[in-house]
Amino acid sequence: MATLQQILRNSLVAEKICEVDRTDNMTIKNPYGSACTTQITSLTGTYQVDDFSVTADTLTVTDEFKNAEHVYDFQELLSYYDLFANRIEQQSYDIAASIDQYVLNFILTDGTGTYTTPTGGFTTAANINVILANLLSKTVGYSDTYKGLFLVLENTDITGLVQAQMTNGYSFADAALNNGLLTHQAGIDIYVVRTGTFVTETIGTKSVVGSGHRVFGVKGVCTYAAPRGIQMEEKSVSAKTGKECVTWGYIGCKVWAQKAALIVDITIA
Amino acid sequence: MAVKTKKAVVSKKPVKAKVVVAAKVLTEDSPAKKELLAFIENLKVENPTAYQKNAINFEKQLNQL
Repeated sequence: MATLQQILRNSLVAEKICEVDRTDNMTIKNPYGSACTTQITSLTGTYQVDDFSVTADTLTVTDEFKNAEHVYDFQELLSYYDLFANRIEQQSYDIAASIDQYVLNFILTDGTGTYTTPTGGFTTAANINVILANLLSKTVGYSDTYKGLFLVLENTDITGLVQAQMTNGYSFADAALNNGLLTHQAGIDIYVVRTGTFVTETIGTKSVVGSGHRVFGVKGVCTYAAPRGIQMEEKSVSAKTGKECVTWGYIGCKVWAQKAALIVDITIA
Repeated sequence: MAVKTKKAVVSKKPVKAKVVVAAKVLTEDSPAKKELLAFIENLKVENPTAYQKNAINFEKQLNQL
């Protein structure tokens, strides 16, 4: 049986920048202790005993993503195409893309780092070096930066970025001229999503403020939990021939409190 | 005998002041503005930190709507 043409798909980014947990846990507890205060005195041999506290920090799975369609027997039987396989695959992609959008907007909303670009944002080539330098300054000096840095842009930003790449340096510019978008610049891995990914709305139970924003930060300091990943079921239903195909996934996301400064919410001026 | 002339006292009728009441035109918020206002109110409760971070931008957006 032939397969249907695939609809145009977006690239998925969240899994590359976050820790992913697919265990069956509804909550992931990650408490943190208070900072210590080091006492520095002349040679006395005596010291004070300080108090410390432990604060709870928990990721909770709160949202459900689901998709369901019915393929009648006559549709499957009398079609030259494998409709059932196509719908299941399409549903799985759609849920994965929705989860990706949810996680990206979630982490930029809850990240406490902030930066406003010069006017024109990433679409103005002359701004790129300034922006990248400023973003680096937000996280450099922290011990977690060895995990790698990421920057997520929308495709409309690439007009300025690629022009800047093509005109900066010698071998770097040559590489950009030959190969197009270079996905690593200034020590930062650059990921691109389609325009409309960053939104300001309530997705499931989370209000996100992403429209006109982009996100930069250290990889692996946020976690999203997707218990059992994406699951699917085909079922016979009463009063209908064929099968109902349903796909679903559960999601919880967290920018850990002690790492929130390592996620920078970029506002495009 | 000098004739004293009195000036006629003319009572001035009070001039009715024309009071023009400027019509107050009530403008309703656009649906987009209402939606954003509702979203902001919800965000203030759900995530005060995110609201504070974006307060200035929200103000700019509301002024444009």
